[in-house]
Amino acid sequence: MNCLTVSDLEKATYQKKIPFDALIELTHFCNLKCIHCYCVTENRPLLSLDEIESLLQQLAELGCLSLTLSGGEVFLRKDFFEILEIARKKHFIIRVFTNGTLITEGIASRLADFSPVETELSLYAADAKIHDTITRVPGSFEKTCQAVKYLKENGLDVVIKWIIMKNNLLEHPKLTQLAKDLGVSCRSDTLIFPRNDGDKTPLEQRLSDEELVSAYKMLGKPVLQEKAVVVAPQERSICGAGHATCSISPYGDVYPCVQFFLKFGNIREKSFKDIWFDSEAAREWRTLNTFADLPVCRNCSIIGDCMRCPALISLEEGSYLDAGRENCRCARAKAEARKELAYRKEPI
Amino acid sequence: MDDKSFTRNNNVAFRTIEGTTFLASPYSKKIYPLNSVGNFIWNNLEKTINFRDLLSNICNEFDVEKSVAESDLSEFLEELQKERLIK
Repeated sequence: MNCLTVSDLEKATYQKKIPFDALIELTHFCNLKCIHCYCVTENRPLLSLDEIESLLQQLAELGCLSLTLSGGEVFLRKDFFEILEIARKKHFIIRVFTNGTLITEGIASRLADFSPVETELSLYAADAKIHDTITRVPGSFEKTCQAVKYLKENGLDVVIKWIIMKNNLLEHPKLTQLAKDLGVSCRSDTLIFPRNDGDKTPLEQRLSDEELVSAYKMLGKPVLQEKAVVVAPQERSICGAGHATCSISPYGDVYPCVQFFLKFGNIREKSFKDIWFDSEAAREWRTLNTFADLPVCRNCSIIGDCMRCPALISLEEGSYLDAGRENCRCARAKAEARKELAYRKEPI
Repeated sequence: MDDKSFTRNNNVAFRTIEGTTFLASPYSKKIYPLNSVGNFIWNNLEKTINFRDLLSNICNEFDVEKSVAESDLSEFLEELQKERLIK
């Protein structure tokens, strides 16, 4: 049998606008109070189990295969296992995002029955005090680490992930080692977003220019390639959000991505299919495919290093057509990190 | 082999997109596209079915010699089992 990866299929579905990859935020409520978190709870009812079942049916009919269940904290929903049951019956690849603090031995064992392809837990430091300072809940480090062990014991694939910020910059190598010790994969990112209501408090955790360079030097490959990637603007895709991926908020709003608040519609008002194919906002967004379609970015010399995020740009600059100061800053820091690393390699 | 029964592993994700069925293994994270015969077999595996009945269904559905179908089916089921897509 031939085989493909999820990424291969995502590329194949991009052109056809099949919502291959969906993320559903089941709730914005959380038992942690992370200093950099973007979630804001709203005074609207969460999608009910029936509404989620109908949504999953509609997504499956349109060809969605990859499903991420996220929060807030998903285990705060009393019907979470019922949602998993429905997702399993509709044959989705399931991925779960959680902080892990509510996962007991029994819950890990129940979760294993649904064979999620990955369970991703947020762990911000290898040092308990630093992690708990970030989550603002004492004891959360121990609980998350214990959850990783329970999940591993039940044969689940676990990923620990973290945002690199001021409070945990020096923890990065220790966290990488901790992941190795725990026998799990790890992933990290440097992007910090404003909160959903526009509050910029989380941005206080952003690394300075110097710290960013130092972070990229630590991250190395694949985030930082040895040589600058030279790519023509028409060869560089902008973002798959809204083409083959989508996000649904706890209140039924359909967006291209979690924090990309270009609202396509709400599943309480229209079918997902109508929203996905007929929304004016979706159609307009989909006219942009590569950097060549972006007047402000098409002549930039560092697009090979740019992880241009239209969600972040919309939030900070007002329009996804803008350049995005934070993405530009990150791209420049990558270029600088590469220069410094190359300098070090030269013989004295 | 004739009496050996097979059925889908319930934890395997799959979806038919524009006529092609894709099986996704939660264990290897690989995705397997099926051709029309593979798709037919996969549909037959929704309920437990033995090799003999499965072979008979294939011969009724497709213009194929029984010996060829038997060999191909045997190989296909072996691959599905190896990838834990069926049990």
